[in-house]
Amino acid sequence: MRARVARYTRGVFIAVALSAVLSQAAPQQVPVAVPSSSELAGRYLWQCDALREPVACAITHEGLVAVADASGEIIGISGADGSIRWRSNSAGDERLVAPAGIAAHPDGSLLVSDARRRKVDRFSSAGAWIARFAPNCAIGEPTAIAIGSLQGGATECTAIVDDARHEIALISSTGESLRRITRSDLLLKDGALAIPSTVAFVAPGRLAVGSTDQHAIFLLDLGDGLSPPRVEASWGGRGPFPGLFNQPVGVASDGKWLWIADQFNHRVARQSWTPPTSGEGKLAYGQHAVFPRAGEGAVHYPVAIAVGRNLVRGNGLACERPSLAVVCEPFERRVQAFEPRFDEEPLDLRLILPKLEGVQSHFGAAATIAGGRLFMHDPESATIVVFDLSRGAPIHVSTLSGAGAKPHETGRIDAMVALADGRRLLVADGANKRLALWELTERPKEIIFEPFMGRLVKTRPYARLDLPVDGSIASLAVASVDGAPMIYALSPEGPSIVSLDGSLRTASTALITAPDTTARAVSIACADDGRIGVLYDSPAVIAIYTWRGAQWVPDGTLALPSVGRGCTLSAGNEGAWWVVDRAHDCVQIVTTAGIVRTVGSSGVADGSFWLPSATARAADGAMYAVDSGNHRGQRFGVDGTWQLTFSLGRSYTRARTADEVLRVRTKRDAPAAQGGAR
Amino acid sequence: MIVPLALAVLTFGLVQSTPPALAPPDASWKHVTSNDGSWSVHWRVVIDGAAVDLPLVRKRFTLEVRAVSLRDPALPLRGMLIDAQMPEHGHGMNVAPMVTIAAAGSGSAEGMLFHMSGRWEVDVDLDDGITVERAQWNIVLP
Repeated sequence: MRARVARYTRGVFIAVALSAVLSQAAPQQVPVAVPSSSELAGRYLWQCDALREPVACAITHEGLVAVADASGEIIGISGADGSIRWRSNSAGDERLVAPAGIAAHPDGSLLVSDARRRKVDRFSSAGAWIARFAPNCAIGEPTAIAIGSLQGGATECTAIVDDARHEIALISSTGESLRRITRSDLLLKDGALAIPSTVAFVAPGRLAVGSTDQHAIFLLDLGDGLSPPRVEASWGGRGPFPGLFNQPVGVASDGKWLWIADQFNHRVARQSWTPPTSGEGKLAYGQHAVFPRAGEGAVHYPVAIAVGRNLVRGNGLACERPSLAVVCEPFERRVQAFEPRFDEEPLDLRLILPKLEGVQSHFGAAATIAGGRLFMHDPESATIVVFDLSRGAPIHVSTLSGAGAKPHETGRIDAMVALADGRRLLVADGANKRLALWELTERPKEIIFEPFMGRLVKTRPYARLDLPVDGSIASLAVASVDGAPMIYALSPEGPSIVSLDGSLRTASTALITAPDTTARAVSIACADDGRIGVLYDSPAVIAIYTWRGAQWVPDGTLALPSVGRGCTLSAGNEGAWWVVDRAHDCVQIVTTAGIVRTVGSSGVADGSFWLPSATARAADGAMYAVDSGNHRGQRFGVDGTWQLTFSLGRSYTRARTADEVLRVRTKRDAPAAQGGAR
Repeated sequence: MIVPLALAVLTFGLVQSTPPALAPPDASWKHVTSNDGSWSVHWRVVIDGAAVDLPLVRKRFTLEVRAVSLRDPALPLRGMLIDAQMPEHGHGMNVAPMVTIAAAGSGSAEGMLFHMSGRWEVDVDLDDGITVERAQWNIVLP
């Protein structure tokens, strides 16, 4: 018995010892952190935030970062540390008005397009004006610009997007026109024609074209530049997944990859351009700065990208790194630089998608009030949000429409106006090029969220409004004429005003006289006394028009020299106009005596603005202002004092300081922020 | 020979001058007015050539539509879109029906399919050459 127990005890001991040895020898299952697609995209280097509205950038071979700022200047920035080397706002004997594109020539010089002056100029790498480029080429509104070569690489070619004609002009090094790429060359899979918005040469004779509103990228074989281009590949569609876009505004190439500034996905995607893998690639910078002013790798509404490879050291500008990527974010008034990583994409990576889900408080540049309902919109999801104002604080009660091309869907909301005491809403859809009239149900007795409050009534295509070809509607207003609603739609092309009845069936279009050749008509409003005011952006002017003798007759102007960039116009109280000044982050209250009050200033505290974009007047005279850059709305009393701040699902009436606002935002968004790019 | 031919031509002319949408529909047709009151719309569901009350889940059907302008009965219908969606679920059909527009305001969408139970919203967009106005109604499938 004792021997049996001893054998048993020895067996147990051996088994335990063997188990211990084996457990130590076996590999342990330790979770390994797979790097994310955002972390792998590249390393954050620096940011330069001494800018106003950076909309395009280029990198010279010596590492100088040149930025086109739409406020009217170009800026040279050191690629090494982001310090500003020079600024310039003149082009010969003219002043730059609205630089929209910039490209670096192999010799170090820069080509700059100015959309308002309708000219392209050549500058030295030190920002000195050299000469006008291609003065004999008619370009209606030059925006994006790229320098490359045609097939074989021997013939230099410059591609310039003509935003007025929706074409791309191909121009030789001597400034002669080679040919134009038209919309008919950019055929989408559904048979529609795409509008070119941005360009980049990816190789000799190969041009990548981005179509913002159609969320598509085309790869064109230009051949010798004289024969029609051939589409080698096209990809895209609206969405958050790799290969899809939400407003691709800028493209760039380092020869190997194509980089796309994907504005409403808040990222810069890196994709293959070479067929048959065109559009493949998961690495992306950014993936959304979840709260305003977040930086150091987090990207917020990027609109342009530049990539430099094989940079050399010259003038002390270039960094030690041979590659550099720079992203323009006018929403944050800054550019950020990254060091690109990974020539080949790793097989094992954790895919990070934009931190967006459904409708957000990312309010766009339109607001309208009638019958106790406030309408605003979210550009990312192309939806309209409805607030009920009957209980004092705005309460989100419904959401209308969504992204798409069907009649009840929306591509891009450019303007809105509430009709019929808030029971109807007219929307200008710039991507689908139509007006859409919505109807809402009667307000229920209880304030509840009703997702199906609205239904589409009808649409009217822009093509049936007697507008110029591809004309657009930038703003809407309504007045009461003989007891019936009269809708006024402002078309910047012309410019002209379209007058429509409430059913959209009768319409007449008439030109208006612009007070300045470079200013753009951006907003229209009807005063209580029936005056029609049109706001021109820069130089900012309110022009008053009266309908007399079957035409719009100028009836005076209000010059606004202290307004940096007029954005939207609303009718204020007692005959005043409310002018949103996007450059100075405020709302100017204007009468014939001039600016009588300024509401707000630059910042994040309650009562301050960051890129305000619209105002609307409530029945009691209060001002509702869209504070786009802070992702919120604010209400101000008749005397201009702040009353409350609101967004979807929240509002408060105790004013917070900037520190308090930032602390709340950081705390609320902390979990999401930890997953962002760093 | 000449007389029957003349009668045939006359008959054809009479048929053409009487828009089908104006003809009194039988009991299988249901009626809605478009969302801005411009169109009188009759519709019915046809499966295997026979009119039925409601479509069946996961069974293809044809939607026949007749529309006449209430503003001006002589106003021709220039175009028609027919679609359906489930608003609560945020999706539409999994198929793309073939919409055919006949003369004088009648059309049909062949190959429609409601692939699940619930509330379906049928959207018919009627184009008179100026505006495109929507008529819509709900079909709830058990």
